[in-house]
Amino acid sequence: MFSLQSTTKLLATLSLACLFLAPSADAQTKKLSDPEIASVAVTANQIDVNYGKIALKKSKNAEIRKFAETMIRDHEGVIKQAVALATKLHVTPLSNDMTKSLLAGEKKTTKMLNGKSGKAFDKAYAENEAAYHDAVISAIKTTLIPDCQNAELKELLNSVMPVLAHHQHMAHEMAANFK
Amino acid sequence: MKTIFSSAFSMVILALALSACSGDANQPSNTTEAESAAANGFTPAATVPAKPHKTDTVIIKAMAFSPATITVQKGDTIYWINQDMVAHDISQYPDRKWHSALLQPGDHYVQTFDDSSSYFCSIHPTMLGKVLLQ
Ligand SMILES: [Cu+2]
Repeated sequence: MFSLQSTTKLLATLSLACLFLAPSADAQTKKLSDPEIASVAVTANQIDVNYGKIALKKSKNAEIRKFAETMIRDHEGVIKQAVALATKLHVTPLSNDMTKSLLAGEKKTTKMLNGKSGKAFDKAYAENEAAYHDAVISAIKTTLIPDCQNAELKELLNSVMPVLAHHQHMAHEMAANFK
Repeated sequence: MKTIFSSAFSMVILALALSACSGDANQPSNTTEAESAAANGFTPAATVPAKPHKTDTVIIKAMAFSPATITVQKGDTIYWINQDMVAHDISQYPDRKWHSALLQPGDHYVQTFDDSSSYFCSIHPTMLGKVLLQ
């Protein structure tokens, strides 16, 4: 029952998830500091803003464009609040292994998205949004929230979860339409 | 000068008295317009109307309207406040016959109802709410 296509898709999803879920052995034993968590949070949001901008440039599909606009507005809103809180707490975002692997994943995905057009692009964008939100939600749940020291930063991470869960739900529905 | 001072003073007293009986301002509640205005930091009306219409508060938080269903009397006002991480709107469901502007975090929207209405957030269409007339 496993077609080559679905296996490839599964592998692609898993490898994307691995970028977030299986950081280096060093990072696994070492907890993220609050400045590192702030860096991951801002980067993860900025990447989805960037994907949304690619979609607005490339897609003519009304559903895709509306979703991309929502991603840009919501994730920019979250960044604004995260930066405001970090400034208030005198936390300067600090780049780390997880930030780096997020950015490496973005580079790969951007190249993949830019290589597609029309329906193939819309499908790839929708599937990537579903997988990306799955991965970010897991990373926040399993790493960022447990590692976070500051109560206000932890509350911000908790408040972002319903927003991401909504995006995840919409993205999976959208991706299913392109099956 | 003296008049301004004393009327400002009496407003403060009124605001304190009203906010004291409106309870926790962060909880959705049934309050009169003056009480709600005082709780939300507005200048309270000097006199309370003989038969006041109520203002009910709906909080927008965690991608949901709370309470999602609210029952009001004809002519009552609903006050929505966005306490969420992201911007939302309040739109008549499903045609957006009436709708608010984009509400950034901290923004509010006020509307008076003479009829029942379903509404949603047109940006996040899984967010649904209902205004029912008693
Ligand atoms: Cu919304």
